[in-house]
Amino acid sequence: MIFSAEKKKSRKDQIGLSETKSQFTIALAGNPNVGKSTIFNALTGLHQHTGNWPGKTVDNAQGDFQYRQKSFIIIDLPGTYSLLAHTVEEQIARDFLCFANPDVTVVVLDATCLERNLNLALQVFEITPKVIVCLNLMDEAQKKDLVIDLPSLERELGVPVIATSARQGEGLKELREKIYQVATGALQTRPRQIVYSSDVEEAVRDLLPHVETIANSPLSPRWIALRLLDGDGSFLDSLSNYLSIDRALSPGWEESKCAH
Amino acid sequence: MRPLTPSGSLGDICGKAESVRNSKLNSLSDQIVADIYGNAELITKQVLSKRKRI
Repeated sequence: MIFSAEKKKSRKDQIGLSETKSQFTIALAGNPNVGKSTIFNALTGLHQHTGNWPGKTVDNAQGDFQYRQKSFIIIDLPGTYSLLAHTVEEQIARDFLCFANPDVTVVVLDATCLERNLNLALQVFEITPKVIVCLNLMDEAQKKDLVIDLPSLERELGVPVIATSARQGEGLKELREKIYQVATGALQTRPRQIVYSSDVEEAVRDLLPHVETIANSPLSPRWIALRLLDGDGSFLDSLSNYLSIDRALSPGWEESKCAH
Repeated sequence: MRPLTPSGSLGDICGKAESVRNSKLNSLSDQIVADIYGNAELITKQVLSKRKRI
């Protein structure tokens, strides 16, 4: 494995983010149609611009806002159901979370489809600890007589949970405050980590000593091991791209992925 | 250019991952997804209820 002397541009550079020392980067993740863009618009107002992700025909929206004399850049990631990178949207969202190292990731969940939405949140927890869960569409959940025990959910997840009805502007003040607290380190989070079945855990244990030889990686070795065990070839491409690891020295991986 | 891994390469790690995957009877990929879904289901059962209309 070879590490290039000339470090390639990070994802932040690639999407034109130019945050200053006092500026925090916030990633906004979530399933499609959970009100993510409504929250993005409410937080940023007119301070936003849109384009495409480099080399992709997928919208990239970013904006900024000020809160308590701090400046925040917020990136509206493509709506995805998972980070297992079966689609280009999933790959973009995964790579941003892995390699742009956002100061806070807000995962927006649809309160009316909690279980399906939690799948994504649990996957984000494996990449970064600095997460806030925004439980949106609470008004819709109430209409369906759904009751969510928020303190219990917060305990189970290990991160702040903010209930919002973004269309009505409810909960956004609390969301800004939590973003501020997590970004500045005033609030520490300990997101729930999945304990996998014994077969998977055993395989991770076998692979970890090998993965830990990847120096200079900002990613958790456990997460890298899981992706390699998952046979995720696109992740290998991203590792190679963002960490400047020579991809050419891993022949046969695509074949193993296809055969998997 | 400098070596990133003194005692191995990305190819070695991928080879090891493939060997570990092949040593299992069941698909690890499917199991990983099933475990994530299982966790989400468990949490949902613990925190979600439906209000009964009188």
